[in-house]
Amino acid sequence: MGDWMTVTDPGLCSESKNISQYTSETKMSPSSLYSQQVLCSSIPLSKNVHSFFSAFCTEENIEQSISYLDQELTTFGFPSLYEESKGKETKRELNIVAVLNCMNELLVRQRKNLLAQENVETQNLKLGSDMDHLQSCYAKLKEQLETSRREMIGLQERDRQLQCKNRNLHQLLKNEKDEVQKLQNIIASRATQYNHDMKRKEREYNKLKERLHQLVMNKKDKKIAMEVLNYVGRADGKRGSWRTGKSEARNEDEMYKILLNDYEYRQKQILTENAELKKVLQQMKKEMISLLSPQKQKPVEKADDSTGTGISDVEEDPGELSRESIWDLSCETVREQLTNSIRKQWRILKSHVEKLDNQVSKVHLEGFNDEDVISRQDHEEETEKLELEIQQCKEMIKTQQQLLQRKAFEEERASWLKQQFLNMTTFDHQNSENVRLFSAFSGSSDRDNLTVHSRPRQKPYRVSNGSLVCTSKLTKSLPASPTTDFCQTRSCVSEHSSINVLNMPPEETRPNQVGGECANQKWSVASRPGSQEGCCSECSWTSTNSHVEKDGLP
Amino acid sequence: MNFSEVFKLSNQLCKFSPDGKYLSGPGVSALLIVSTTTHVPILQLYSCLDQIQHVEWSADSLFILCAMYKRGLVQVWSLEQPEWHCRIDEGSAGLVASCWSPDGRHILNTTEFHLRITVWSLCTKSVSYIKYPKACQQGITFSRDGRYLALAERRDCKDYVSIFVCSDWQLLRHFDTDTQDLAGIEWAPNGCVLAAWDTCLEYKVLLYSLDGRLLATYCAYEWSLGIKSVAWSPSSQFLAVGSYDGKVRILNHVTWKMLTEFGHPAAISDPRVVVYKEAEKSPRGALGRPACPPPRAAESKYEIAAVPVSLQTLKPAADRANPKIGVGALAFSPDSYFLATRNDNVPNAVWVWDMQKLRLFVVLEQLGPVRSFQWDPQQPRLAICSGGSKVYLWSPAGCMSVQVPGEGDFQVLSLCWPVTGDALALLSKDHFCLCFLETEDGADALGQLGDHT
Repeated sequence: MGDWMTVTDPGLCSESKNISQYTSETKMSPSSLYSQQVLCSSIPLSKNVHSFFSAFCTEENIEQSISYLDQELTTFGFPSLYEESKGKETKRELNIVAVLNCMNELLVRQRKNLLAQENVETQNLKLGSDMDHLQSCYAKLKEQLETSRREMIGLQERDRQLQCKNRNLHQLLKNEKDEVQKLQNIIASRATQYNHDMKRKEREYNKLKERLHQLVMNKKDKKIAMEVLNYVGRADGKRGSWRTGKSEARNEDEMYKILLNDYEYRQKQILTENAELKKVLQQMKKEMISLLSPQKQKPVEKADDSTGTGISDVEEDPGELSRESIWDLSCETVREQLTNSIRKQWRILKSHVEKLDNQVSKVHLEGFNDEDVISRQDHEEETEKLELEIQQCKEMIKTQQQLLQRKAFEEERASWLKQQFLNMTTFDHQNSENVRLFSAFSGSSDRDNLTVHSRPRQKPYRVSNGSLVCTSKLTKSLPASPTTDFCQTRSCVSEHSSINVLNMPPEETRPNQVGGECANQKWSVASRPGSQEGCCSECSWTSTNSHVEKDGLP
Repeated sequence: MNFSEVFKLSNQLCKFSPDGKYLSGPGVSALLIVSTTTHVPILQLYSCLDQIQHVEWSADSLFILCAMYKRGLVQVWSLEQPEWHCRIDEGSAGLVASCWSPDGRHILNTTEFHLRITVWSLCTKSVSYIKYPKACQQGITFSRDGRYLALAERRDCKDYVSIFVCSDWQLLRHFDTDTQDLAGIEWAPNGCVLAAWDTCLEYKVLLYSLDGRLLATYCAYEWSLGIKSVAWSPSSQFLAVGSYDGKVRILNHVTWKMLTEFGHPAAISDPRVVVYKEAEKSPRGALGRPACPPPRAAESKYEIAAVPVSLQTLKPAADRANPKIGVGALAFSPDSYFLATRNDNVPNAVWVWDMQKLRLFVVLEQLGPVRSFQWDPQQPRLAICSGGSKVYLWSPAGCMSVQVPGEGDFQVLSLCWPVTGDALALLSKDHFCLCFLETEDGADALGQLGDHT
């Protein structure tokens, strides 16, 4: 029953041996039999299998096989293969259903086991490969560890050597320093020794000198003398003077005077230098402020500190300037103020430049588009500024042109008035002038007769009014004469001009918005003889042309 | 440039008169006066009693003294009155130095062993004595305006300075100096500050005001050899101190602190510096070899060397005294714009420093060691001689080398300018000659003296 045939399958030699060990034992642990059975089941089906299968149960031992199987299965927890025994000692019948169920169960279990085995095998493989991998890693790491240990040892060795060297060098340095100190000490001690010796020798020498001097003096050597043909006068022609206390005091005075002069001279130089430097600093400050302030046109309420200080500095500035011009001495506080304000401005300028730098760097980082935008903004700002400037300049030019015109007019008027007065007194010159006047009044386009063109200019209506007034006056005032008409016109003209002249001030209010001093100028011009008639009347000609037709002159 | 004829000279004692009109050139025992302006070259000849060791003009150019140390004699001659004579005999007291006082009427004689200084007066019969003068490099100095005399003294192993008023020889101030061994004193050109410096074993410069107060002390370093030469700038703004470490330190007159220091390295690498090197213009033979032997000393010219340049150096003997290292010669130009220096271990070069920018301006390297250089008293023009037969002139416009004409080799060992700056006296061992530089209007009255042989 328990005879298992050994299967000569090469891969399973060992396992079959194991199996053969347990052949005689019927009491086997279920698990080992189970595993054996599993192992056996993994044997590929071959011819031997059939014989292997048929080896257990034959025709003869059916009952025993069934009972054996029943025993085994019941130990495994399967239900009994026999049917329920009705009584004792009767032969138990085989329960086919139970057998089939057991078979099915066994098949199911077999399949499960196979799956499990597969899983286990794959896992085994995996674990094996993991193990290999880990082993290789381990080997590598071990190698690395080895090399790094060796490296470390090498570095440690080098470190040790260098430290050794370092210590040696320190030692050498110390030795050298000690030697230097020693030598210095030696030198110092020798120096004191030599000094002492030298002093001793010098004292001896001085004693000798004194002795010699005594001898020389005592000898009364007549030869020590000066032989001169005649005494020479002093270089400055003065006589010699005795040495007295007064002369001593005088010498002292002179000495101090010389010193004082020198100090004063130097102080002057230093003061001028200081003044120059202060001027330069002030200029620098002004320029810095002007550099900073045009960009800071934002309102002061901005939280930006630099703006605030910049503008406040500008406000401070006039005050400071006036203060400093008053205290244009090297006053301590003024000096400090100036340097502090310069420092402040410099810091502001620096921060501003840094900001600009940051902006520029940001621009470079942010790329091309932003660059365009920012630069355009700058351009726009600049163009705005320039346009403003242009406008201002244009306005200024216009006003200046007007002023020039008016001046010219006034001058012409003045000259004309003068002529008028002259004409009134001397009638000889009248005729020529009358002709001229007539031609002028008749509205001819004779450009030569410029003297009279000055009159009607900008206010034709006034002229006409004035003329009406004039004639009435004339009839009363002037004496009758053949040339009365002309006189009338002339005086009329003069009155016109005078009226116009008188009427000038209120009209000047308009241009005065631009220049406040125009009125005064005109008044002064009116009294002066017009020298610019020629040039100015050219410009007035264009205006008069239009007015001449309107002119309703008598 | 015109050269005069060559005259005999002894001891290189050629001196111009303070007004620049005359030149004195002592022979062995005769004194030659040469006029620099008139046609007559030899004006007067005086004969002296012995070999002349020292010649000095009086400040008003009327008198000239000749000192004969061996005999202890000083003879004074008058230019206006050739028959006038004066003789001062020190006798057994001996004579080691003699000089004029600034008023031109007193002579200060230093007796042997520096026992005393005797002040002889040419106007009166009075004689004054000053005791304990110090025997040092520069112990007597007169202020430029001629009012004061500063004298270095030593008593009981301590140094003192006495200030005398020259008009009546009254002692104005007497104070001690904090020096080991005072080596020299010098008045500033403005006459208000006195610079005193210690021996070369100790670097110390002391500045005293006219009334004897110590204004400042300056010490650059310890232990090494110290000061070798000192010079005031004519404007009194700067004091240049040249020392054995090869540097010149400039002190400013306001704070008496060092403004800057000028080093003298043998290698120049600053590209802004112009380096002129003297090069021989050797005449070439037909085969391209230099013609040999040249009949006379070869002409030379200056070439501009490209920076970096390395100059010739001299290694001095370290165990000898007074080694040839350090800045041994210093001179400011008359407008204080330039400072010319010579570093003794680069003996062939003259360094010219720009005082406005406080940096090196020009370096002139000669073929031989520079013997002497002097600034023209009127303009920034430097005359250099290096023992050859050429004299070199440098100005900011350029530089040139001029051969001294003559039959033999005229070895220019030293030179001096008159105060007018229009001529140069060139001194060799036994001869001297005058060199007239062209004036602006070209008027050269001494055309006759172009006696070249």
